Amino acid sequence: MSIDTPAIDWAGLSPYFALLGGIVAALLSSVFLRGPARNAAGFAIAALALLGALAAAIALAVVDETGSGMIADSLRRDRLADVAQIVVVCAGLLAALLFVREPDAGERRGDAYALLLSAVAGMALFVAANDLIVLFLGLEWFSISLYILCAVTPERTRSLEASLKYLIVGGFGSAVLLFGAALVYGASGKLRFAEIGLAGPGSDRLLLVTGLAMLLVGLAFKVSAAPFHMWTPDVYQGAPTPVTGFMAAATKAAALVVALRFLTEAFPGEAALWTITLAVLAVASLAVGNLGALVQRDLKRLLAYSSVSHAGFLLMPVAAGNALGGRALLYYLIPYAALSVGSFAVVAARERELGRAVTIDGMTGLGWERPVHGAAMTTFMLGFIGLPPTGLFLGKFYAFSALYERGWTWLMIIGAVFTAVSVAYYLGVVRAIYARPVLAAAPAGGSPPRDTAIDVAIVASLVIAVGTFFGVDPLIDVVTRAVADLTFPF
Amino acid sequence: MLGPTVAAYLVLSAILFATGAAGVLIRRSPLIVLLALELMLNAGNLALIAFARQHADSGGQVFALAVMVVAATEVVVGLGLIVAMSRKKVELDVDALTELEG
Amino acid sequence: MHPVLDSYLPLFIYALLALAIPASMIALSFVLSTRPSRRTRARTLPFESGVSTGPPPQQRLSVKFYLIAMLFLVFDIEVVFLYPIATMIGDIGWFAVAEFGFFLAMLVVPLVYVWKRGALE
Repeated sequence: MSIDTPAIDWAGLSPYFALLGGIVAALLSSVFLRGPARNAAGFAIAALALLGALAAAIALAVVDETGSGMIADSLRRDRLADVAQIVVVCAGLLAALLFVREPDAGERRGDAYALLLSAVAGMALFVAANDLIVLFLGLEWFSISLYILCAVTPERTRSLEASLKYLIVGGFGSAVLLFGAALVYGASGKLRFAEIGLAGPGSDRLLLVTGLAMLLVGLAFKVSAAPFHMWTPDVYQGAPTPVTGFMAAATKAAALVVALRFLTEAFPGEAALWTITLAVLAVASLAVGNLGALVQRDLKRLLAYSSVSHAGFLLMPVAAGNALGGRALLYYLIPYAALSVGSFAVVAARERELGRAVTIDGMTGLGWERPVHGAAMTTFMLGFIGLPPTGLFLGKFYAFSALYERGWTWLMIIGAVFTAVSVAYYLGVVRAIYARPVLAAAPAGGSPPRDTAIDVAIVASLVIAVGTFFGVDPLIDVVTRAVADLTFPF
Repeated sequence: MLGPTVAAYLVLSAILFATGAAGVLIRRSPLIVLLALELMLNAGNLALIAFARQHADSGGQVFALAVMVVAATEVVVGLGLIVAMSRKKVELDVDALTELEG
Repeated sequence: MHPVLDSYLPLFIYALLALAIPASMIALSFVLSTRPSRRTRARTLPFESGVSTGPPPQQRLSVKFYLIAMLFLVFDIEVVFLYPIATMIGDIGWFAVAEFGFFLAMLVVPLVYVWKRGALE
């Protein structure tokens, strides 16, 4: 017996090679260089690798008229993967900017860049997964990178605590997903998504449905959809803020894109079941996220609950199960990622200024002391509500349209009600920003020097968030092509 | 087919998985919790290998190999965190990790 | 006697003896030693072949030990991928061998990293 060499699409793999090279270079530079050169080199390598991956993903998105398989069809090279990779890599770039002056990272900053690249690479693999093995490997690759990234400031006890909690809960989710994958494999005898879809339930529908349910639970842990969200507030609060920003934006985007591809391709026959399951998860997330956020004082916890509630909003278009929903999800993710990273960037900047964790009261007077940060944060908060001029306004509109097309008016109404609830806590932040400053807020020892990198990240997030509103036509065109290959059940 | 049926393996792996899940949810020592996580992952592996034999397909075995490596990596990260915490003399009891209120 | 019962008779006797010996030990020790008048601390402790019960003396293992053990674990498990290759080495093409060279090269990078970080000292 001889084993054939699988067909390998080197061009399609180019984003991975850029990131892999970056990981190797960042790891080696963090042990071979000394002093300030190490940090500068770490950032330069991370930025170069991410820009390289971004360029490669954009080039692929331009040339990929039709999707194709890579490496014996275990990876998918299509516009859906390309667009998701662009979102993830951009979130990584913004997070890399936030790390430049992260005070707690100390001399481990070089390692932090390597881990960040590793998490981005894992997500890039995850979103291109075309079979269950790559799905699990990609999931664990970026998850394990994130666990370590949470602990990259080991001098802070709560950072270690957050990391261990994340590892235990995340590992639980992964194990549930793995068992689900095993059951689906058992029922269908296949690992490729499309082949699972073609094989159908076979003789044992119970096995397939149980497997599907466990896979959904595993993904729900990563999306932090209620009731699998309990790790989110603790981990978001305890992790270093740049990591939180990246997690909030990128993990959700990657896991939802994978859910979209995987559910439509592998489970077209069970569509009625998974759409209603996702709708229930969406309602639970909306309720838990919005009601939980109302009582939070710590800003990172508030944003964590806000992220749970947006998991609900993001699940709605997937639950609709139609092409409009696919487009809505992909479009929604772009401004959402920008808003997430941007708002955590403002929190990071404020945290360094105050030298302690930021509560809502800690934001008092930000609008007067740092007008750009204040205006940006106000825009982000209004954006999260779903008001113009950020793309989330249109994202919510498209998500609701998808539900309307499906005929699920009840879910639209629930979404609208919880949007109204969310106004309360988002506006609470805005009110604090423009309240007159209490003079005692300034820390002893003076403010840290102005951090250009974080300003760049905040402004870039703002530009993307607002740009998606004004550039909606070309973007809708892009996402329409990205989901054109998928076959939607409704 | 020689030996126990696939159903038997499936039942065993389900029991292992449930044991592991109960361990993660109930036990308080992070070391035991990591052990329980390993048990859950290996229950998945057992199911994969049993199904691979049922379908006479090597895909499940390849999957199991990959899972073994991933599980080891995950547990090493967990152990590293526990060592780092014990160096800092944090009490090693998952219920006592309350500096993050909640 | 029925042949089946006959063949199980030795086993049955053996089982009875196996039950009787520990039962008699427990009973005797109960009768001889644990009467309230003689219940000293040493007598109420379970007998474990001379190994003293209770918490073992605190022995601190160096953190380096854990570090090396973890590094061993994570590098060791990668060998899992080498076994299948070793069994199939005659059937795979040069491309697969080159691919494994790449895999091993990727493993060298973290090795260099931990070495330079001083974790192997």
